[in-house]
Amino acid sequence: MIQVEKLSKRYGDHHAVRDVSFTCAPGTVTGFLGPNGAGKSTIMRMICGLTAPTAGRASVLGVPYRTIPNPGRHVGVLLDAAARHPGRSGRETLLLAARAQGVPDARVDAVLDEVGLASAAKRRVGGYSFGMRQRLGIAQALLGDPAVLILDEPSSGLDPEGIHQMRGLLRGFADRGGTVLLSSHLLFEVESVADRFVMIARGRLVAQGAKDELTQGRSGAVVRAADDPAALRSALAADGLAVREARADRAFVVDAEPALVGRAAARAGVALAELHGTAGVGLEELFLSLTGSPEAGEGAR
Amino acid sequence: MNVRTTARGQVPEGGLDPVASTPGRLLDAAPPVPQRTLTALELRKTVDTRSGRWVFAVILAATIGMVCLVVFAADRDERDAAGLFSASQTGVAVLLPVVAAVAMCAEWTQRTALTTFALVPDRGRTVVAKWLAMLVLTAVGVGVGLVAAWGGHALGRATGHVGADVVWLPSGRLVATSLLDTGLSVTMGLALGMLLANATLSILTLFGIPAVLGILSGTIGALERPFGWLNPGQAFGPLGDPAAISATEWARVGTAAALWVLVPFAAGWWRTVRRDVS
Repeated sequence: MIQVEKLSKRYGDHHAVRDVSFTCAPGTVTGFLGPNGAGKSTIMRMICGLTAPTAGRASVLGVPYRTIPNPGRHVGVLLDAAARHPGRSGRETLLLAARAQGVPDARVDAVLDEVGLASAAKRRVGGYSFGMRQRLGIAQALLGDPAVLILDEPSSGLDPEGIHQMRGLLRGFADRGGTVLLSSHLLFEVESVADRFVMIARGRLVAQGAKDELTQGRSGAVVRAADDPAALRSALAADGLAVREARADRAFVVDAEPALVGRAAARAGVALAELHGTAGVGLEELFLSLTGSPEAGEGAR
Repeated sequence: MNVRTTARGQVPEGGLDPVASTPGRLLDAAPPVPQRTLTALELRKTVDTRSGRWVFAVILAATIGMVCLVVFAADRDERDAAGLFSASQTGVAVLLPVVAAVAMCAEWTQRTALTTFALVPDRGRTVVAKWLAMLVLTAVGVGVGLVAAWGGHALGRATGHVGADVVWLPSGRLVATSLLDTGLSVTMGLALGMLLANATLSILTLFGIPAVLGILSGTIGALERPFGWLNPGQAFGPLGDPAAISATEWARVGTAAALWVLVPFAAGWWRTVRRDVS
């Protein structure tokens, strides 16, 4: 369980985070989405008591993180895979983390094995690829057998196989009752594993909810004219159907059921090459419309 | 990353339930690790990298080298137990404070603070652990110095460079004040590391303060007396000298220690505990 209440962080005149609230429930994976610099890392560091909020508060498992006597045993944290001493081996890095939370040394080898780093355990972290550092960070987060995982951009730098394995690992963790907060600036990295989404842009919360909730009311149609996009556009306008987006392939994304779009085209006699609902692309469109442009970030207050 | 199918919460230590979300249960679940474990970890962190091991190799080489230098090259009246022991402490006195400063700064520059302070949110415990680790290293430095001085003495006797009438070990007082001297210096190193959070700046300050104050009091006569109280390099000097230490000299030690050890330590602590980790 993670609860974030009206969290704000200001650096001088810059509002890095403004009034963000959300909750992550046990048994779920929450995808924490937003462009780079939106404030995701700052929020995660405030949750973990590493950065002091200007206003608001956060709790993990019902209490402020810093009041947990031995937090590693309850909350697995990966905030920056690059934040490692390059001179230590992977195993040594984890050994220090294990002893700092009173976990037996044998657990180090178990988690190294779990993330597929056993063979590189004795090499210096300075020689690791970024993907290997991510695996090391995930292994460290798992050391204390926690109930909550807080992972900042764990997928970046991983190869497709690594991303696939991590999805399975996080899904299994949540299915056994764990709570996962997983950030990314790329929707596809979290879309298939997350149950819920929290989207932020320019330090503000712009949307949150399950995928269905987020895309509800935003269902629409993708339509592409066989020959004459301009004629299609005026046909849509004639029926009062709003074009949400004009795509590069000359298709339009319309805020209406496909049947309505089809009738509008038929009445105007416009031949179509493509017409379908947007269920599959709804979340991505939402993500881009809410976080993509500066105006959207401001307008979604 | 193979997904284990075992149920979570089967790790016996701490008896952690994966969905434990009631604060009461959480608070009894896993106790914090004891301070001595954190201290042992900080000691380990000073030697578990190649660069860390190099520093200690250099300190050991300096210890042995300086003792040999005294045995074979110093004036004959300096080839006594105190002279040999003082020589053995040269490397320790110069480099251990640097180790202390770097140990603190590395948390910020290597950004390991992100892990250290996430696992031990009470940052003061980590600072105390680093300080205790440095005091342990100080004691080890003095112990190794005693062994080296004794070995140098034996070598000197065998080769006729040290007279048979010279005592084997320095006085207990000299050993104790040497411990205090290096202890103050490593604490100053740690304090500057906390306050400045930058290894280069900390080391420059560590060596710069006594050097600059020394030059100023050497060139401006009026500053000589007050700087005797303020310059740590000068005020701590009698601690490493076998001659008796006067009350005034002790007062100078106290003044310089308050100014360059206590004040930076308090300010550095305040900064380290409050600082945002990024």
